[in-house]
Amino acid sequence: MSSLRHSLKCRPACSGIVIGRPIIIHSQLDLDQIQSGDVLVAVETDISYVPAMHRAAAVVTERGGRFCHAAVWARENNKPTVLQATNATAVLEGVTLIRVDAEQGLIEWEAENDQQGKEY
Amino acid sequence: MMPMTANQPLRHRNSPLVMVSRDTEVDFSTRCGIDRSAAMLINVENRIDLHERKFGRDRLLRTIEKVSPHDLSQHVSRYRVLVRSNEWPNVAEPAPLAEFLNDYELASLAYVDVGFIALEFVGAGNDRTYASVYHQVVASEALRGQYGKQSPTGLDARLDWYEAQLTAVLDKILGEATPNAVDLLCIPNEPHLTAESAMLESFAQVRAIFAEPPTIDSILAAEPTPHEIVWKFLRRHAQWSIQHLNEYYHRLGIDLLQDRLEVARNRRRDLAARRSELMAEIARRCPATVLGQIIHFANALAALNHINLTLEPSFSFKGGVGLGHGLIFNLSEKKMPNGRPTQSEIARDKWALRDKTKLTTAEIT
Repeated sequence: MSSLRHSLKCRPACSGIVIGRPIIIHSQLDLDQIQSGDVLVAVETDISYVPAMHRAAAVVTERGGRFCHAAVWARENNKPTVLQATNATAVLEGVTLIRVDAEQGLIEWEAENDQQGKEY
Repeated sequence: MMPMTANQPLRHRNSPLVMVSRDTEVDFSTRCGIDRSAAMLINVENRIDLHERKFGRDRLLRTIEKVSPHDLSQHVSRYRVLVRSNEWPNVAEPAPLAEFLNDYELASLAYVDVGFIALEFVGAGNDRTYASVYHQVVASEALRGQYGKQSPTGLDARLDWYEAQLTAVLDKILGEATPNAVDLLCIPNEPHLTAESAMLESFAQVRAIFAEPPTIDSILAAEPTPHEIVWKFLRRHAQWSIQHLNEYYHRLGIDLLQDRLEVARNRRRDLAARRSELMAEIARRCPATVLGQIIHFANALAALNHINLTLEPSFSFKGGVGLGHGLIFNLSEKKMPNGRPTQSEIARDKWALRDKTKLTTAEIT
């Protein structure tokens, strides 16, 4: 891994590797921002998120385990998804592109020019 | 394992729960499989249907139409905060699974009954005082919570327990061969769909009736629709809000909908095939006694997970009856800033509500 990369460990829920723009969802009002190919990032999801989850290329949540909404939905829809990405909605704020590796359980993104990479 | 008795000590969230085994007097396979959870879903939906008709469907849609867009859009997140930031008198009830499922159903029915009392109040259609409705809403939420995620012997605790049991048995049989074995065994099979899959299928049916976003008048004019399609969607996925229903039109365009329907159907077929292969592999590798154990745990997980994926998202606080509760909770900030009942009062009221719902349900059925 490059030293200029930030990374965040997480738990894979449904495999796949996706590169996309992270969209932080704080409430249902933000869901319309998700365009095809974006990565939906939220503390957790519920059924009202589903249309946006269908549009997204991948889903990242801060919480959840095997039986949480995001995990079950992802397995049923074969959508790359990672869970337990601690503080993802905060650390990914302002980031323009991320790589979600739902095989290994890792999110990576480029650090700013003068920053060192950091493992969150 | 021994069956539970009322005298057994209370258990903490992380302690092992004692569940009923196949050797006890409760016939696990016939009383606790996914058929039982599917029956629960039907019973709760029928109860909502009963209330809808008593309340008046026209009136119900118009009552919800008056809820502010802010209250509608913030409902789930506000309710979640309310549940998590307040103390609730959840006690451990390490009952057999069959008993737990019965209690879960009663709590869900009580939540429906009180949800409509709340909606009646919001629609100014009854002469109850706010304090009386608020106390019932608190008791109803407490009863729902008693069997829910935060409870020491609630849904999530039981899912975790059965997951651990099944994982331990499967690890011995399969080793690393099928890492997703537990996932495969606990996803509901068709015809039992998760709320998300049901939502896609149901929305496609609604779109077949209304190509464009409907209004209250056009919905009422189209009554009755075959198989109650529109009402099932409204109550399960849109909190009876025409605004919410119309958002689905906006967010799930016809092309995306068709594409996702096909993906989801293919995926379900694929998962069903893999599940069959897995069961065949398990049957080849393990003796009959262990196979019985696996089926026992997998049936329990499937039933609990089915509740987790159907009743919980559609008819708990995220649904329309939950909105009724939420609107009453919202009013409490103004009307009763210091009026939250004590823990012992909430506990007393929630058990009284359970007893009352048991009687009401017996009368209805």
